[in-house]
Amino acid sequence: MSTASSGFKLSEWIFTTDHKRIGILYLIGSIAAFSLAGIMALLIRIEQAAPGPTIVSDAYTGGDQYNVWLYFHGAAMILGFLIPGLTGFAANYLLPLMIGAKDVAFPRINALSVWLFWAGIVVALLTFVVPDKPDIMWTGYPPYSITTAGNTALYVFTVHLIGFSSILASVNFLVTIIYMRAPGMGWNQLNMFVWSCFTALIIQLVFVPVLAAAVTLLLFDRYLGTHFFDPANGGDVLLYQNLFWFYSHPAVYVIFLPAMGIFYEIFATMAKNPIFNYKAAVYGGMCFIVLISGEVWVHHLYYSGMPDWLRIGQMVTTLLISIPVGLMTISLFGTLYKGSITFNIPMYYGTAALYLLLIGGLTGIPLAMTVMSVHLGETSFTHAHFHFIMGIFATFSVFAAVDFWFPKISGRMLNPAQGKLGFWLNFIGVNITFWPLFIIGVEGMPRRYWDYSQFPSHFAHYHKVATLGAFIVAIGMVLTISNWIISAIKGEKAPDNPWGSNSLEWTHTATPPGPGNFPKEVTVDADWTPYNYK
Amino acid sequence: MGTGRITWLMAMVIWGMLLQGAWAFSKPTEHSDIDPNLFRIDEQKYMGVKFGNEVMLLDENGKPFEFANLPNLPFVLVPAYYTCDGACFNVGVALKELLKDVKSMSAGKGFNVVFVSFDKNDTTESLSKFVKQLDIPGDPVTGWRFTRYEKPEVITQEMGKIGYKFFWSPRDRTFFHPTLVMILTPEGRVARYLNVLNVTPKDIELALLEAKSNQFKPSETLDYLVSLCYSYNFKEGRYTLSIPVFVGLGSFLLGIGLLVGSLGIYRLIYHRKNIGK
Amino acid sequence: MKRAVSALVLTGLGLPAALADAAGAKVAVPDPAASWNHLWHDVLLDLFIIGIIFLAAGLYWVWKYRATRPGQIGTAPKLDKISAIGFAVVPAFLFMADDFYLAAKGWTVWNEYRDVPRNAMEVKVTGSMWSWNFEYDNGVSTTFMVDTKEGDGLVVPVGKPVVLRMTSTDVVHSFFLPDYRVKEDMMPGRVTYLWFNPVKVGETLATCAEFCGNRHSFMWTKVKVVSQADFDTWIAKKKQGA
Repeated sequence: MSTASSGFKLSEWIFTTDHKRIGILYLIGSIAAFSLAGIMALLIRIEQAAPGPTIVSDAYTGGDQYNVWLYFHGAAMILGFLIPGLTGFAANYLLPLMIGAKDVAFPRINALSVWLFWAGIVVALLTFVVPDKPDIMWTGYPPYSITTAGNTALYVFTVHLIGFSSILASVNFLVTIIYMRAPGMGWNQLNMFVWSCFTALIIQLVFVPVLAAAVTLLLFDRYLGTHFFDPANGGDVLLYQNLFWFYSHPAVYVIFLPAMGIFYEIFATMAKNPIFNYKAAVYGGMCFIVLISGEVWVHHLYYSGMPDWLRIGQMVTTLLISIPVGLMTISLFGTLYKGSITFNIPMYYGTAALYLLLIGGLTGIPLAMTVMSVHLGETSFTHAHFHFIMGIFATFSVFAAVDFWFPKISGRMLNPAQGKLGFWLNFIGVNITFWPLFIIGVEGMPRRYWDYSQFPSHFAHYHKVATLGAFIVAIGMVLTISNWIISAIKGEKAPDNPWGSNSLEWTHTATPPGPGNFPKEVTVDADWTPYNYK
Repeated sequence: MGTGRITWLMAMVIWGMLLQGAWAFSKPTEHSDIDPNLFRIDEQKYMGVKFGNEVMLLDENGKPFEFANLPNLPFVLVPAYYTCDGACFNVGVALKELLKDVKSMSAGKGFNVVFVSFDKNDTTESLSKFVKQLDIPGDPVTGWRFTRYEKPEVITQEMGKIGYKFFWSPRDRTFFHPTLVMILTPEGRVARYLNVLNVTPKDIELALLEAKSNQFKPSETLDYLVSLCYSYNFKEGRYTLSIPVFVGLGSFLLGIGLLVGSLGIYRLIYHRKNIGK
Repeated sequence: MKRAVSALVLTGLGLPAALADAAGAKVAVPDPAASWNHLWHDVLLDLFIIGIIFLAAGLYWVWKYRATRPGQIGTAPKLDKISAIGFAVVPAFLFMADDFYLAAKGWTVWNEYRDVPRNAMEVKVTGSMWSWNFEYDNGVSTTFMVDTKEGDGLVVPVGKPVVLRMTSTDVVHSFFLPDYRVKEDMMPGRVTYLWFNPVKVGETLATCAEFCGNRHSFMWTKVKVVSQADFDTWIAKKKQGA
């Protein structure tokens, strides 16, 4: 019954339409992107460790090298790791299992999605091959992206491929969730992770076309001589920024929601508690975020020269995001209340997530205020803020997800000592990396600088500490990822439900689940919920 | 009649040149004695310059005129000289006609029109004669003001600050000058240069809306939203449709369509399948 | 004597303040950077309170509710309808109240940032890859060269608000004055502005905060705040030189 029983055949993986294998293909691709992005991050950190050229060749060409690292780090982390890791790997592997379905609604389209994603990764990798490496950041603001000598087309095609992949995946999963739930499973009995993907995928489906359109116009301007964003010929520079963030702010929720969903699952299982105030978190939290996500993008443009009334209007909408996020946070914390918490690697990540969510969320509040943002925006304060919430919180959620479902996916247990050591290095490392950046950010250290000789000399000390932190994280990541690989091959055999979870993917499947997922058709009772431990 | 004919010609020449490609004057034509390039305004250089900060202007009655006393509205600044029966007069008439078709606002309510004379010889008399000839509708006339400089020696410098150049031609006994009006923000900063002989009422309306974009009233929301569909084209000297807005809007609707459509289609298939069972 | 002192103070504050004072209205020129710092402390306090409450609850529960024996299950009480609604509505209102509190505070300071004092000295800033050019009203223009450290950069008299009218000739840049807590982007085809109040004599810097290519890190300039007398001498000298 299990996927691994008949030995390994490459063709079985390439032509697979099984959502579980597709999920693993997503995981491999996104971890590859993550590793490369991590190497870029280390290069960036080494360069910033001291003012003046450290590893770039000199002050005149250094920017060309450094900007490629920045570009690749950003694009690979968001387009190649976070979105595919959460809505690709986790959603693929877990959604059908959690709702008691045999597969997704359109398995072949699902296979197309994953290979489009891989094609996107390959195009992104061309960055290191072409002579005119893209250097336009993951935001690609014109006129720079139009006038630069760097290869804007690679960026645009990466967005197209991964964008198209995620549109197909969104349709597929939304249909799956709506129509393929096990008989008897009502909307209020869904796993939090299912809800979080449902809401995230709605956002993704609605907003991705806008990004695809915006970057396509960029491509036309750059290579076909159109003037969509050229003010001398009737174009508008700011319009691109508006279109870009109209997608890319909602994209933050495409990452944030499933990340929260994963932690809800872990908390409920490890604390053996129902989700605290489930309906408030689902309807007041997740669904409200879907509604509000399209009305806050101007907070990325607070100092870009937008009309003042818009900057104030969207300050209010941006601050109001604290309501749904706050309700979700209360629900996450509340799930621990009077629980019976078992600590293991996923729960370590979960506990760290409480702290990361607070730091990342709260430092977002000054950035939501127009006037605060006028100083803090584009400094390393912003940089540290979104690394806490998007970078680390979401990355930890992917790690926690792999660790949590590892017994089910591989049929084997992780090495707990190595996993815990990896966790501690990761957790301590990220704090050492990003706290100094908060501090010098408030003092005015701008983002995306490789040289900062003009600033007070103590900035260099903070940067050195941050670089040290990055290396600690790097060791932690190597331990974590190697733990997955080694344990998948020769880990201890896992029982069917090692955490004693009540969710369908643990209670009703073999380990690992075979084709068709469930040995017998699943039906659930009216009082069943994945969190009902009584 | 000699002077009149030449000024007419001058206006035509400048108009023609502007029509050809806005500010991109290339070479003088046989009709003109001076290089029209001299009138060219590098808009980007002068945008945002404040007009009339410390300048004393006199109004229709020779009393001091202060911008600060105008209501907090954007205004159309029309450089002219009042003994001119050619270009300036035509600018005035053209503006009058254009503003008739600006539906969303009217002079005195949504904006003001301020003429300023760059001729040091203009007097209250020449001014009132000009006003009478122009025959602005409305009784009393609201929103149209006519001014001249108190100190003649500052005129060239002050007009130069906003990039406006003019020359007195002793031979033709006339001024050579561009047929431009400026749209200023309520605080008096140059927002747009428009050639009234080359624009439509829509352009004026859009420029005015843009000049006060921070203070539009709730009743103007729709006009403001419409204005977002246009962007100013420096090359053509007018507003053109902003295609990315429509592309963006279209792709957003496509996204919503994908959501609703794909779920809808699947619903049909699903129900048909279940009926078949 | 008292009059002489007050006259001195008035000159220090600049002519407009003196005029305003003479007119009987006491209009002090605000200092947005100081207001920003003040607001920053308020916001930090707000964040600390929220953060501590959540963190304390989280850490305490994590410690208190750890499982003591295998197979143990949680004992969280089931929320009845009223308390479920209460736990949604009450926090929602608390968050909203805090949002509006912060929005109102932020808006007040924001208005300071956008209302340029009438007597502000205007300087035109043009950004281009990768330097800034400053143009004064009387035609004087300066640039600071990063490589040679030559040129004066932006020179302003102390105590007089400065408004920068900004545009760019090529790509998007952002004029960031860290010490004055302000930045605003500049781009081709549009004019943007910011203002600041140089209250102290001294030298600081402005740097580019919007990614603009290869030498982005090197796009900075000196900003010198000098006494009015020094400024007058400087500008006169510049004018002669030009």
